[in-house]
Amino acid sequence: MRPVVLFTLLMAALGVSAAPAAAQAAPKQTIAIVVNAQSPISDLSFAELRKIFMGDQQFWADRSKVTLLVRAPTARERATVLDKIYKMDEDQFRQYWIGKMFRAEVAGGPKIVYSTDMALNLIATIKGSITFVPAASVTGDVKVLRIDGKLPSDPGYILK
Amino acid sequence: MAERRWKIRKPKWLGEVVIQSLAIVFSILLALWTDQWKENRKSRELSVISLRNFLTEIQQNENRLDDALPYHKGLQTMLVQLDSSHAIRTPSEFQNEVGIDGLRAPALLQTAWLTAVATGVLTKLDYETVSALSLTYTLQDRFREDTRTGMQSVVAASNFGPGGAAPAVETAKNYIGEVVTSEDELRSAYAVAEGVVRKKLESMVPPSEIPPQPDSASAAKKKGT
Repeated sequence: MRPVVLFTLLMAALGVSAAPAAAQAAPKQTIAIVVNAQSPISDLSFAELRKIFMGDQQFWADRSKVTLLVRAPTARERATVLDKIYKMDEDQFRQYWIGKMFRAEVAGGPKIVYSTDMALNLIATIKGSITFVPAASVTGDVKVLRIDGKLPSDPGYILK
Repeated sequence: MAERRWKIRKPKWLGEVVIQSLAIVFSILLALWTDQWKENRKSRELSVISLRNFLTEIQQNENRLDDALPYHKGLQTMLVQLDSSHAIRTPSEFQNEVGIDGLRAPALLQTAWLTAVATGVLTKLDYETVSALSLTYTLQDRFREDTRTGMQSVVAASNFGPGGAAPAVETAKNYIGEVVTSEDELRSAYAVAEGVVRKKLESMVPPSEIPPQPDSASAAKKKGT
C-alpha cells in the first residue's frame, strides 16, 4: 500500500480532521467511563484506565478484545479526556497512535464515534467496548465504571 | 608375445594423463556440485526468510481484522436498527449517528507478497504453498477493491436531499454487511494460509525458528499488554 494512502487511512482511523482549537478551549465537563452492560468490569483504577486508553492493555481479564471508542476531535469531552487521561494535545495524540501502529504494538487506532448517541449505541452493541461520554448523557443501556472507586457523581472523581 | 607387444605400445605418460584427466573431471564435477549446493542453500534460506515474512504479515493482517471486526459488527447492528426505526432524517444526523470514516475497511499489508513476486522467490516454493498464498492475496485485493467502491457508494448516498435518508441508511447498512462478511471470509482464508505456510516452515527449520502461533490474549499477557 502506498504510504500516502496508509497515512490517510491512519488519519481517518484516528478521526483526524482540522482539529478545532475551540474544542480544547471549551469548558470541561464531568466524563463518565462506560462499558457494555454485560461487562464483568465495574471498577478500574486510574492507572488501569490509562493503560486501556493508551492501548497498552488490549484485552480484558476474560481474554476478550478491548474496543476503544473515541469521540471525533470536535467534542468537548474528547478535550477533557486528552487532558486528564492522555495528558497530550491533539498532535501528540495523533503521533502517539501512528507511532504505535508503525511499531506494530497495536493492530489499529481507537475507533471513532461522532456523537454521544453513536457512542452509547455502539457500547450497547459491542461486548468488549469502552468509551467516555458526558456523565449527564448516560442511559440505562450501558454500565458506568467506578474510577478509583468513585462514580462521576462522587466528590473527588478524577474526570471532572 | 602379445604381452610384450602391449608393453611396447603403452607409453609411460599414458597412466599419468589418465590420472590427471580423471582428477580434472573430478575437480570440475566437485566444483559444479559445490556451486549447486551453495545455490540450493541460498534458495532455501531465501525461501525460509520469505515464508517467515508471510507468516508475520498474515498474523498482522489477522490482528487488524480482529481489531476491526467487533466495531464493524457493532456498526452493522446499529445500522439495522437505524434502518428499521427511520430515525435518520438529515445528512448531519447521518454523519453524527453513522459517520463515514468508521465504515472504512482496515488497511491490510501485502509487503511480503510484493517482495516475493519482485524477487522471484515464489519459483522456489512448492505449488501448494504458492497457490494458498496467491489465493489469500487475491481475496485481499478483492476485499480492498470492493470496500473502495462500496465506500464511494456510501459517500455519494450520504449527501442526500429530501427523502434520501432511508436509501442512504440502507446503502450504508448493505455496505457494512458486505464488509463484515468479507472480513469473516478473509479471516478464514488467513487461517488456512497460515496453516499451509507454518507446515512448510516446519519441514524446513526447527520449531524454535518459526514465529509462534498467534494466541493474541496470552501473547499479549506475556508482553504485559
